[in-house]
Amino acid sequence: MARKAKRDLTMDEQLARGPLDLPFLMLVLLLLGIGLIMLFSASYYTAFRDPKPPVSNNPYFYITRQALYAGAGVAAMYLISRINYQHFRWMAPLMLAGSIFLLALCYTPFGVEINGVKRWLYVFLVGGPTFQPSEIAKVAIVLFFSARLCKRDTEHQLRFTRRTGTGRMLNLLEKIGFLELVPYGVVMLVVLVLVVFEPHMSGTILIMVGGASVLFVSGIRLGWFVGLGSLAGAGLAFIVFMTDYLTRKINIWLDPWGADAQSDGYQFRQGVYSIASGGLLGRGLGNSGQKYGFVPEPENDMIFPITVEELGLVGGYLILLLFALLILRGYWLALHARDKFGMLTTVGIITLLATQVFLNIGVITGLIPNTGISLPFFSYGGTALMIQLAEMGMILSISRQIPASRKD
Amino acid sequence: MNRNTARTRKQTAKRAPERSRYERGLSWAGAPTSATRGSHSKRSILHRTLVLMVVCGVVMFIPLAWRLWDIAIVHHDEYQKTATQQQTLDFTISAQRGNIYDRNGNVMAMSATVYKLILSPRDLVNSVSKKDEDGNELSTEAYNASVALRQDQMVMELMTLFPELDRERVDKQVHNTKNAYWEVRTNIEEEEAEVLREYLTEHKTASYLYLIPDAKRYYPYSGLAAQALGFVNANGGAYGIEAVYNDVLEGTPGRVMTNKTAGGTERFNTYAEYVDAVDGYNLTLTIDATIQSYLEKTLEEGIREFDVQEGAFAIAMNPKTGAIYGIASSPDFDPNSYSQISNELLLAQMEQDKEEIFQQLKANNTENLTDSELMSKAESQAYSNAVNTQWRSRAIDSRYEPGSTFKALVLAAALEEGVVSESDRFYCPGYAKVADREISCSRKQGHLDQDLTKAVGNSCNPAFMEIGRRLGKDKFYQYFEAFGLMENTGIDLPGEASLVGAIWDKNKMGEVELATASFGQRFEVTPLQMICGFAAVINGGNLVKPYVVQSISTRDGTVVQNTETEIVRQVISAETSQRAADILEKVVSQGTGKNAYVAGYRIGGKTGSSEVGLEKDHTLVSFMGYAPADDPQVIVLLAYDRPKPVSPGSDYTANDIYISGGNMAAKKAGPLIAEILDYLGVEKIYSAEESAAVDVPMPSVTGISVDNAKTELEKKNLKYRTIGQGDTVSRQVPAARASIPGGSTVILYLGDAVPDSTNEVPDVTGMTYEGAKNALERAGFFMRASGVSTYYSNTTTAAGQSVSPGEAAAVGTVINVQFYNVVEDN
Repeated sequence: MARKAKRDLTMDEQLARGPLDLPFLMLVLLLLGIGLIMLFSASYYTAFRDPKPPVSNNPYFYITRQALYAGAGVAAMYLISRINYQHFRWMAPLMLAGSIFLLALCYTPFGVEINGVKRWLYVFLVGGPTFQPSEIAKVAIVLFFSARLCKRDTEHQLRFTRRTGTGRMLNLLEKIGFLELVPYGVVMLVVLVLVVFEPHMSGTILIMVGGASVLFVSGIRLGWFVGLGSLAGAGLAFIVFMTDYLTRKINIWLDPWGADAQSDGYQFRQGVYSIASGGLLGRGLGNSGQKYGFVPEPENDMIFPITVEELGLVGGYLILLLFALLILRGYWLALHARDKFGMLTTVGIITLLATQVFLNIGVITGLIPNTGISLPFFSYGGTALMIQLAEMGMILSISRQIPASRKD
Repeated sequence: MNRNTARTRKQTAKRAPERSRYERGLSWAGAPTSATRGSHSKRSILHRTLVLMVVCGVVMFIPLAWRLWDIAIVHHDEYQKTATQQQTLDFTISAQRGNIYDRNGNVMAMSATVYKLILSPRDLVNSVSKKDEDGNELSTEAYNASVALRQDQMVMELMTLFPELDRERVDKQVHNTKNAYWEVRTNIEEEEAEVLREYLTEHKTASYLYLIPDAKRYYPYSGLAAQALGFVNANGGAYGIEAVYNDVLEGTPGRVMTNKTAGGTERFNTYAEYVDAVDGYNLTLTIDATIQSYLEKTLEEGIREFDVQEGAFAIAMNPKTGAIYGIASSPDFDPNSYSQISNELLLAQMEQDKEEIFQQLKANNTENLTDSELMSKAESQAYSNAVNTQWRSRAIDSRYEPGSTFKALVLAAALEEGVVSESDRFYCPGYAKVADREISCSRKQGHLDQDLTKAVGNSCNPAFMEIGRRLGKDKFYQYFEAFGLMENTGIDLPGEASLVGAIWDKNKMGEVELATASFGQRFEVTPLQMICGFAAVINGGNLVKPYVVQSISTRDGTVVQNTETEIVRQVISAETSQRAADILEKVVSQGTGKNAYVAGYRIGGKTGSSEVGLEKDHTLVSFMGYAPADDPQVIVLLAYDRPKPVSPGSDYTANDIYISGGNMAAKKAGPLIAEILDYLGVEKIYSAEESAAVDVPMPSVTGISVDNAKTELEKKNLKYRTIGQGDTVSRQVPAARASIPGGSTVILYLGDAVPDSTNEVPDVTGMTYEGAKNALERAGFFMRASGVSTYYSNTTTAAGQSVSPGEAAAVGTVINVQFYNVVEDN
């Protein structure tokens, strides 16, 4: 594609060529870099001990793969940042439909079953690396909601006939803002049902949080959040108490050192030992003792305890600080976004990221029950990392169209 | 109502152009109004974004940071301790236990690695997945069922692997889920372990069924010198040399402190701390496996031959150095499986013991136990008695009345003190009067007049009572102590018997006590003390300290400690010792010890028969012998406890052997000593009388005239007879250069006469020397006599022959015939 001269560009196109937000980009790359180093440190023993293909005792297995995906992800991030994000508006419904289709595919023989859970699909349907359609669904929901909710100010309330009971009812519902929520609710419900039955608890939570954050910021009445939030809480509590293994998870969380948690609380306790072993300054990069088979999945959900063990509380805090800065910068970009669509999208994506960080480290430190959420930029998972970076690309694309401040 | 509706319609119509901007599709449901859905949204969006920004960017991190701080700093020590604990690999490297070698470097005890198969029933349960194949949680019932199934499978698998296991026991153990450590099998050798290891890997049982290394002690000679060697149990050396030298043998275990992985494997890093194990030292014993086997063989033979009830013991020692060549007790055991009772006599005794204990318990049943409970109690008691009996080394840890063997010590003391001399004469009327008592001699009709040598040879009690009287109480006591009979020998073997009450206090010793003690009765010593005391009599007068460990050496053979002979004291002068030895030699060549005679070896010694306690029909027969008399190389004490009389009160066994040291112990000791001397390479030296019967090589006389042959044969001290007609010898029996005893009659065949190639061996048992010789030579055999001195009397009869009667043997074969002489001794 031949590059058009600047004078031939439309206003939109000119804006899309603006500079991307360097602080944000730097924070992403910094976290990604630290994440890769820690992944290597945390994973090589596990990989070395794993005789099953494709790992086959190759200590570099995880890091090579992750590095390749990170490279591809950074490329994807850049390419996406070059897209004028206004195109995402029309892409959003397609993306949503596509992700619903993919989620549905998980229930067909194309779905990849691991440990009795059907969360994955092959990238090329019958082969290639696996990915979770719910990862895509998260973004799709955020984009779709943003694309619709940004037009809220110009969307008129509806009035229905008062002649019929139904009409009056509908009027009432419109007045309290329920009618407006119906399409979002329906979309959300469809996606959630598909995710819940995979089953995929953490995906469910993230999709809900992503959607809710966009709805929240777009100005939906707070009453709905209180109402629906408590409803969802009650529902969740009901599900927890009705399901044995969720009840046990709660019990482990409440008393991880009890005898009852002898085998179940193992992962948590090993994580705690790991963090404690780090102390203030850590045992030094590569010197974790807990990664030698004590902490389960040190390359995945449990990568942060290993990080703290090696880099110490100081290192852990530093990483948290980087995450905090990234999140704050994300919201700052949202606040300064050119339009409401960009803002809502940014808020959704950043909130998703923040939630993931919170849920991962919260679980590790015993703050919340185990949900099984990986740490962005750190945990092993090639396609997830790519999608994560692609999301960052979207934010960067939005950042390009931020009008320069007048002082400059 | 209607009006309202109409107005609505009107309004709707009015806004038609506006409406068209919206999706017409929704018009069926409702019409857009002027109010938008989001009002005042700009501000609220800003506020809400700021709220999220603060929550997600700042607030959210506060609890996380707090928790991290709490774990990493506040609880740092507590958690880190656990973490360090689980990561630290602290194991000991077991030191190889030292080997034990006999005098010639043959391995008597060695260590090797074996394996134990361990099952953790607890982890077996943990290994059962709580989820089904689809990853769903199992219900409690379903989970329990699958645990039970797994356990049953485990039982099956174990039974297939080891069909010899008791199924009930396996079943019980597998279901004992509280237990995490059950030794399924121990002592698994490397070969079997290899097979098992493959099986375990294949079935991925590592978390609950696994092998661990273990050390096993092997005793290649199995039961040989069992009590002396002892054995090793879980706590180290438990008995014998293994126990006494445990510290030397076991070495120092090393230690490794390093980090490990969760799988328990070692992580190599710079923090690791290694302390090497120091292997145990090797021991070289004075015990000679060959001599030891001679001793044990002799014990077994004697026990069978004399129907011995209470076991037997034997010691062979170098009389000059105190080095023990062999020390044996029967019943013995196999240290490889030390808790097993294999001795038949002991088993029979245990059975009897059990009955007795049972009856006893039943009579005194205060706890109201059932019969079967009492029986099992009795059983375990009897077993523990029996096991302790077989582990005991009787030659060290029990006392006995030495009987007449003690006379040698009295003799030596009397000679040293000059209270008797070889020329003294004693008269034995068959008894002696001491104080108000009559103490009889073993020979009721009396030995009548005899010189000192004869008196010792006859083992005459009245003569020794007289010698004891002449010695006096004080001197007796002094020598008793000097010969080391009042103190333990200090041998490096465990369990020397306590000597408390073994002999009267000096001031309680009256005339009668002195008299009986003079012929070795009514006091007790240990067999080892006795042999040491006796050795002092004949070795030049020195009491030596006995020992079994010659040297301690490192694994590469460097000797770190060598045992030197320790002379405790000189008891008698060398000259006295020589005089006593000469007299004792005659005990064997002419006296009660004559059954121990072996031509060529100048064996000296003393017989002994002692009543054990005041028990009826309980005699301990013994013989203390040494050889060669002029330069003793070995001294042997051989004793059999309680040969069974044919009927209560009888002096004979079922096979008509007079129960006494001279008829039993001496008879077995002679060949034993000869065997030992032969093995030690001591040359035979024949006396004039003996050399007449010494083997000579047969000259070749075939082809020469009978006259010439006669001169040739006479040169060799051989007689001849001829068969056939002619002057020239055509064939001869035996063939040239065959070795036959001197004085034998060879057969010369003249002319066409041809000898038979084989002939039937006649039965010569019970015949006299001449009778047996003639009978054999008539059949074309030659006789080599053994067992009794050259002073053959009419009471000397053949007791055994090397080829059984009736068997065919090549003509010219030399048949060994053992002669035996009934002696009257005590």
